[in-house]
Amino acid sequence: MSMRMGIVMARVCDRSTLLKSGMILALIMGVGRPLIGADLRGDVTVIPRFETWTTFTVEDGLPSDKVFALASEPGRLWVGTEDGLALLEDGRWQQYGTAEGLVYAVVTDLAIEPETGDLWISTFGGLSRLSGGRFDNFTQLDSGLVNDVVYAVAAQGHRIWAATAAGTSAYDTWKDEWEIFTNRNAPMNEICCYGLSVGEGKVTLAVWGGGVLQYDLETERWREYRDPDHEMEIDLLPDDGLVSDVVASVAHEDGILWAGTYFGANRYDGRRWQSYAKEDSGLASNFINRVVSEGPTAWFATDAGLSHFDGEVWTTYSTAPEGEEGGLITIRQGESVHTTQTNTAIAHNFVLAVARRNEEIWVGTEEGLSLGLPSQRSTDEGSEHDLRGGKQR
Amino acid sequence: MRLIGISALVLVLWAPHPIWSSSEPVYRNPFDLAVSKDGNTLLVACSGSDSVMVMDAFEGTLRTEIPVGDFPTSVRIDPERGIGLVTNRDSDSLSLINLKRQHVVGTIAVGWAPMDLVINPQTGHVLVANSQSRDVSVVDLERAKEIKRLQGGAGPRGLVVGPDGRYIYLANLLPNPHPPDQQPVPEVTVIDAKREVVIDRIGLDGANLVYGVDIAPDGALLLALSRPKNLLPLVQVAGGWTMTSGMGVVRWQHSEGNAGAKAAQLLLDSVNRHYAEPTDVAVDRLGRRVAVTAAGADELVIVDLGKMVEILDGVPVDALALLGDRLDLSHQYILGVAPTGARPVAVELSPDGARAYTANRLDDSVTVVDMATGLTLETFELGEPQEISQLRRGEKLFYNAADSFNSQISCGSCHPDSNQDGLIYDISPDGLGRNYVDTRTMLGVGGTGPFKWSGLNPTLHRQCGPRAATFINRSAGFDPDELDDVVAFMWSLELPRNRHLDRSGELNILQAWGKEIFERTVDNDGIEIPPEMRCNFCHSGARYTNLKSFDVGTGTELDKSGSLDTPSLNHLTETAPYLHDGRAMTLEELWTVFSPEDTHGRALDLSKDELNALVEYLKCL
Repeated sequence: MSMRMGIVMARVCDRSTLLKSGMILALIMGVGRPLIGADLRGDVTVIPRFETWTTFTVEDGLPSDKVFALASEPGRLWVGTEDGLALLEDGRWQQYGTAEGLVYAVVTDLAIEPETGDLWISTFGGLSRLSGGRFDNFTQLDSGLVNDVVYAVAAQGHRIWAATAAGTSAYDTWKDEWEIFTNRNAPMNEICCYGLSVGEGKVTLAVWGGGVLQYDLETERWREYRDPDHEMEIDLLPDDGLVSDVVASVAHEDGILWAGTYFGANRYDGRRWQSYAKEDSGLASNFINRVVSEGPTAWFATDAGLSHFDGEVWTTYSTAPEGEEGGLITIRQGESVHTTQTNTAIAHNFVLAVARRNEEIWVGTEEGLSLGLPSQRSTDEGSEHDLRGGKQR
Repeated sequence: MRLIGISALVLVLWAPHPIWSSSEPVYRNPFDLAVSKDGNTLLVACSGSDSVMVMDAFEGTLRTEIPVGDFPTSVRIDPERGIGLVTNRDSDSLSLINLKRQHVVGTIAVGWAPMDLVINPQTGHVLVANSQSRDVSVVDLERAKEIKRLQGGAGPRGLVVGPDGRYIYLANLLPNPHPPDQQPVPEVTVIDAKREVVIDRIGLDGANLVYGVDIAPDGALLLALSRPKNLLPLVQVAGGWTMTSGMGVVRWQHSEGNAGAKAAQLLLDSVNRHYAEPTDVAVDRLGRRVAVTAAGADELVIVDLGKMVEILDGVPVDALALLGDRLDLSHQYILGVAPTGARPVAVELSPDGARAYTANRLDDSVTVVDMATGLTLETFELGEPQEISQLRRGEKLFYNAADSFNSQISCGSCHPDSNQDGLIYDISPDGLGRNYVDTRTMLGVGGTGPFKWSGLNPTLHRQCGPRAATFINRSAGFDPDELDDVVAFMWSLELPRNRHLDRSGELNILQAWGKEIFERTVDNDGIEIPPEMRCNFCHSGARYTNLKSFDVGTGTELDKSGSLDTPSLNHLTETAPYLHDGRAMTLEELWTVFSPEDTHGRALDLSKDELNALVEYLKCL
């Protein structure tokens, strides 16, 4: 076998099965089954299983190995790192730092304006727009950006939203007008906005210590989602609302709100909350750095690997235990768990960013950027990018 | 005797503003033109009469006149759809004209103050250059809707489609934001026509006022531009090179599969002959001859493009930048100069390239020039009113360079469209680099005296008379009657509609909050703000200035005095940079950077959202 494979039978229990006072033997899952989820329109989202990983680091052309943010468009991949921005195009890496005009080196998030193709870059020192090679910079001193520590950025048409350590700003690029949202005009018990998602007429904020806030663009009203038990680190009652008010990231798509906190994850379909913890689901860790939706499914970048949930099945990608080579794919459905060992793995289990496109996935970690492909295909033939360099590990 | 002397002085200082006729004639003010594919029809966009004149291109006879939006600025013919397209600056709209039925069949809203348009051959969409919103509207005619906007440079002005239809180029009038002690760099914005996204921006080092653009059959981009040496004492106008006029030429070089822009600038000017304010450029279909309007000189310059390219080819790439200051070259490529009517702002060639038509904005005419001989063939009169009013005379003087040394500059050279050029100047002859001053707009200038940043000139007569002649124009200046006319024209310059303010005049919530802050009397600590530290103390009245000078701590060691004239606050978004020396790029910086001791009004107690509200209010004044 070119790839060491194994199937691990496991007994697991979660809170729901405990309530039923039963321990159920896990079922053996089919290897290679694509992940499928259906969105509200009935469209099917097919997500391949990624078994071959190639990692890119500073040696290949990244400005830093610590990758905070990713943005993908046809033929291009933008990578935000701890020490600047990088572009992968035509097999070449190009770096952009403060010398090239970037407002600050530590890039936290990226957003592509869908209509114009302009790239918005949030950093720990302000907000940049890269348009046709020109950087336009916005800081708290020279614009309506509420704070220079910008954690997230998103484009809602020609309105750009920036979540910062002291509130959220919205910039209308057509009118050149800024609006600021803080505890003064929004129900922010805390003003540290960590994550941001726009879509379906709503702007959703992850507020660190303040739960989730959702702004309806039509009614211009806020809706607040908080942890009902008010316990920051403990979720007393599952599925009753947010697991914690310490929300790091949100995603809103297909009518589903996903929340990633430092103490677990949530899914909310407008009627019912569902809570997910490492202990009773396939989530790799309760410490979630970022959640990224894909149709009705979601990716969770955690400190212990990358998890995907399609509503039924959890799939987690991680490195093999210390001392072993390669990686693990752990699949869980209900109480059934199986683990597949792969020859290659993501660069590091501390995952910070995810970008999906066609048959590939890009994963930003603390120690490099990894490209995942569905099978044993090499990066040369498997990626839409003309790739050179990178290492399999 | 003494009393009489004082009275006379008072009269000079407090002279009422000039009176002009309330029934000012309606001039057509042709702003742009287009020639039909068969060469038989000429369309003239008339910004004064808000109409498009349809004329016989050979006889100059009027076939019909079609009302369009307010202040039409460009007109194009879409032969495939059989329509004419017109941008209307003051309506923020695009008019669609059925050329057979000769009336407007549709109007589509676009960005702020549209100045030019092109039809994208790849998508059929219309791209519109919006000068105030600084972007390009992409308009889908089938859906009668603007579908997106692309970020332009500062003051998008001219658009042209490349010969292979792959790229669209946008010329921007003003420089991108830059430190005031650096040379200006306006950009040419490059748009991928198929994807309709901006893919590149080409800097034109040291240029400004890039009004017009056209493209040669080989893809060479041709631009009408000026080259100010604004950081050197303006008295150097007498040296012949402080404000020069020329062309930008951008060609493409290919190496190792990569295409790159090779931008150069060549002057039309020579040591003793200037062609002030190039505003438009048109190249013939063979790429041999280029027509350039010298709007400040009332002339059309015909250039041998082949000779120009030959010069460029003979210069190493790293030496191209030096060409922009050469006053000894233009005799090699200028083939001829034809006189035109007053202020030829646009030029269009007949399809065979034999005839050039200029739109002469300030005498309501079109001049027809033979491109082969450079001779003026005829003039089509558009029907200028018999009465040439004082304002008309004043506007002609304002925009004509004849009164400056060697006819280099007019008032419009620093005040394009009667606004400002985004630069600082070293005007006073007090040593290199001292007392730099930011150009101020002339829009709404009436009633804001005293003038000059130092506030030393009590009237526009003083400002524009001997002082301007001595320190700026280096000439005898205007005679008394001319000065009256120019001043009357300047007094007549009204503030345009502020797009940041809703058409109803109602403030939005944010602006209303900002107004409260602007007018507050108590700070956030509950302490009463001394009257002189309130925003609306200095910035009071209809023009938001109390017409006095104050030292608000913004002076520097380079300034003679920290006491400076209180500027008006109208239309601030169109008058960046800010402060007397242009140090502040944005309104926020007035307080966050340049008022560290809280001397520019009480502001440092404001929270960030309060400051933002204040700024949003200031934008809408």
